[in-house]
Amino acid sequence: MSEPTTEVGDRAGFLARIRERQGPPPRSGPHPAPDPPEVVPEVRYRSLDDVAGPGLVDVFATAARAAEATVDVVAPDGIDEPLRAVVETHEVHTAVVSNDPGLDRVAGVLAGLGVAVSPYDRETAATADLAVTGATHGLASTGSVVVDTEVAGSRAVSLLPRVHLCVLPAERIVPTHADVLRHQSRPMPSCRVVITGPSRTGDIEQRLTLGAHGPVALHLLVTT
Amino acid sequence: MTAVHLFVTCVGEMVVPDVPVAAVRVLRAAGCSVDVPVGQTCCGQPAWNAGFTEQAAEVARTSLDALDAPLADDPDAVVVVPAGSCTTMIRLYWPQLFELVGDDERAARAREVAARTFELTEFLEGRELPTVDGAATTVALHESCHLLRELHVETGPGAALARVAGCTRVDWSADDRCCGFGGTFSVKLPETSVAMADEKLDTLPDGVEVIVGADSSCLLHLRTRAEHRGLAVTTRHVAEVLDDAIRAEDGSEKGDGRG
Amino acid sequence: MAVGEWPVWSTSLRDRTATAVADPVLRSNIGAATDRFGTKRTSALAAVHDPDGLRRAARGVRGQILSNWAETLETLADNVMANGGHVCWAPTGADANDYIAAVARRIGASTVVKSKSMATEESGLNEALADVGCEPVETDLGEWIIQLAGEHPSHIIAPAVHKNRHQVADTFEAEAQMTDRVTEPAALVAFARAALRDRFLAADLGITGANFGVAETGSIVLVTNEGNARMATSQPRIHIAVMGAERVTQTWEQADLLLGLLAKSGTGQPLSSYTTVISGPRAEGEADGPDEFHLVILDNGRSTLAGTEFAEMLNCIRCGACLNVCPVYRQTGGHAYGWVYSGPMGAVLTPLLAGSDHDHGHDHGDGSSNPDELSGASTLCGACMEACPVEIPLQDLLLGLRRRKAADASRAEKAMWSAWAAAWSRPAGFRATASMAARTRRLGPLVSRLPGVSNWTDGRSMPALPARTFSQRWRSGDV
Repeated sequence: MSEPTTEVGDRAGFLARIRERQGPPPRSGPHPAPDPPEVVPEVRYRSLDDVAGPGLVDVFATAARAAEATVDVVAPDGIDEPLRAVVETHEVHTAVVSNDPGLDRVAGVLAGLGVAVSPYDRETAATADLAVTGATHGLASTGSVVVDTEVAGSRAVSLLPRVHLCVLPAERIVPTHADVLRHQSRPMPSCRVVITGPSRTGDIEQRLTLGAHGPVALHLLVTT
Repeated sequence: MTAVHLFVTCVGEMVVPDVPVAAVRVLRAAGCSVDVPVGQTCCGQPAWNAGFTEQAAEVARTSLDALDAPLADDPDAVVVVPAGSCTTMIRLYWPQLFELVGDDERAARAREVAARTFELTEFLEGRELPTVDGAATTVALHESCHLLRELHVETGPGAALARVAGCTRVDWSADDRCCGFGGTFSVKLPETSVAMADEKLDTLPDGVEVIVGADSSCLLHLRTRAEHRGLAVTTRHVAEVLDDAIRAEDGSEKGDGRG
Repeated sequence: MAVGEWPVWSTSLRDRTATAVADPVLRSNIGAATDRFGTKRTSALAAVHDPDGLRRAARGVRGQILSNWAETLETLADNVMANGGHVCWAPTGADANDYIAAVARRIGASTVVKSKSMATEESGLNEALADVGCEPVETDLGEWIIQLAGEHPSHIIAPAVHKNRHQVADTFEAEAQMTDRVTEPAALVAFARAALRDRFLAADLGITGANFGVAETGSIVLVTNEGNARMATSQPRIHIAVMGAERVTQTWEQADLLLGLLAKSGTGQPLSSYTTVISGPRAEGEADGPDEFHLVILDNGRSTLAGTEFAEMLNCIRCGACLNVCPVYRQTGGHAYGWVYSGPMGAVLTPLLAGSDHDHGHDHGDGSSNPDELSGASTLCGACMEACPVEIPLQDLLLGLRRRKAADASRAEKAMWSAWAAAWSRPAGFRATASMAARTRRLGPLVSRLPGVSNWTDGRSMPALPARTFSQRWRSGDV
């Protein structure tokens, strides 16, 4: 924003206390620290063994379902039926749509199903039944989708409504989080979120309960 | 014939001598010659775990000196210890202990001894030992902490038990959880220590008559808690189970003392 | 809880653990929870290749970062400011509180929503905010429950793990105006969701912790399942992230590896529901997000660990795995540790952070303050290091703390160990103990030299001793 940034406190003193002490961890003792790896290893998921290209969609769908999302994989002209099912299952009457390009057709189908569709604003979203967003990436190994604020137009569009519908072209599915997190575009969007399943809590008796603060359901519509 | 020098341990010396006795016999049955180096006392772990480094070093020094003399004479000789915890003290902590007290010469010797020191079941895994017939007993195995997580001996006690036909080992969900002994922990936080032992005992599967393990101190803790509660289960060191079976086959006499 | 009021200052570890262990509901709640976390962790790690290799690499990576700690912080701060954020360097918790309170006063904030932050538990931020007329609302469900109950967290990732559904319902009835009592977890969550959503929408200020600060892009990573951090960083006008100074990475490669281990180790999920990367305030043209983003970098004793034998404690990524596998924590839960952090990491961190603050110390007359006792809350079983995603050798650090405590031990305790060493460093003295013990055939006289023999015998029988020691049998040729 246009406000000048400020720095409070004694940076030099703060860092001097650290600098005078910092150093590599002890390399002796019964459990000595290893040397740092020459290359920071990536997490290699067993579900991706021998999987490439189109096979990623299946891995993605399996992982997303394990994270309590629901998934449909359809051709671009096959979205009507899944959207109807979402509207009926979740009793959707109102929807907000993010700024992601390419959602016009989805919005049109929803409107045709009698859903009141509007662009995002906070008050509307806070009571809306459905959020519709795109995603910049899908992560096959964890069934995650990546939503950037600079594309979606807001941080909370995928958060405030009761149900989140994310439309993901299959070609955006990459193997793991490393394929996105290690290759961040610069400058970074002000907010980027990796979404893995709906909002949840286990804070009461470790009982998995969906919809703690965010959506109670996440539906992923993968278009091939 | 491999020359084995037995480190008896303080608990083996004073509280459960049947365990080192059994270890000697089992090692002989495995084709080793066994000696008990003169001058050994304790590994120093009680003081080490309480943070009293100088005192731990004073005691460990005596045992180090007793052990490394015979090793120096025979390059193939090894030290075997019938306790995972004391083996850990020697192997992992002696070098650090002597470094901390500035005794670099002994730290170097401790590293050499460490490389040639093995816990009993770990050592037996690499040896020829026939399967023997033992009494029909249902047992559960307590995987002691240091043996499992510091020495990474994951199969030693189980493999030793498997050599005793007639001994049925049942799975125990809490087999690798700490018994709650922890040396001075057992008297500094006794309520917690007892609760830990109780959870072990309460999760024991039905029908288990004996808890078998490779560390006498854990077994003592579990046994004395079980006795206090009036439970029927007892404990036995894996060396004793093996020795019982070997002697039953040999038809030889039982030793004295208690297990 | 205000700094200085924590139980660690005023009560003994023995008393706290004894109280906890005597509570069967607590033990049952904790046992069930840690079992579940443990099972999920095992399966999450089994889904990847070579998890132990990853843990080892992560340890190496953390060591590399903290070898360049000051430079990493400097880069982070520069990039946060380049992204339009404000930076506060807070040497102490009080400095952090003052800064945040000043921001709250400047904008006339009345409601402050907080997403779970252990660093602000350290600093007692909630009390500081209340002092300037703000109402801080914890929004992590577990954290809200304990805030309502006037308690403190008993687990770093599941703060209300000690409470069952009925106890939660009691709290909601008593403290959150729940009129139609429900006890099903789903219904309790729905109640909390509705109550807290109003607060999110009304809040002026959102305060979060930070799981990681990534220096190369000036970004803060927040990991939650509930979405409360997303709420706190999208709804209020101002977002302040309070980050423990050690929670930094130099690069995204490093952050990616650590994120790949964090949720698997903690809750046992492949990833948490929401991994949020914040790189500044709301950008031009965006429909929501805060006007201001502030990063508070908190030292609060952390820098004193650098370069010491305890430096690797700075590697901790607060996943909670060590709590879930600890057989002591399993019996006592978190409150028995008496301060912000519990389990093995708490037993190490509390003496190092809180123990350095001797202003609050209740000296035992032997130079040790209460927090130092926590190094005794372990059997050194090693389950913690085995579970730790950055392989912190917690048992070695606990031993180091015991050495530190022993250096200040009472004369009587030192004398006891010296007498022991004098006897057992000589074979004759060792044999004398052994034969004396064997002669008595009871352990009593041996153990009675240690303080509190009843500490053993109250819960365990005395082992009967053998007639002859091993040495006697060996020398007599009976073996």
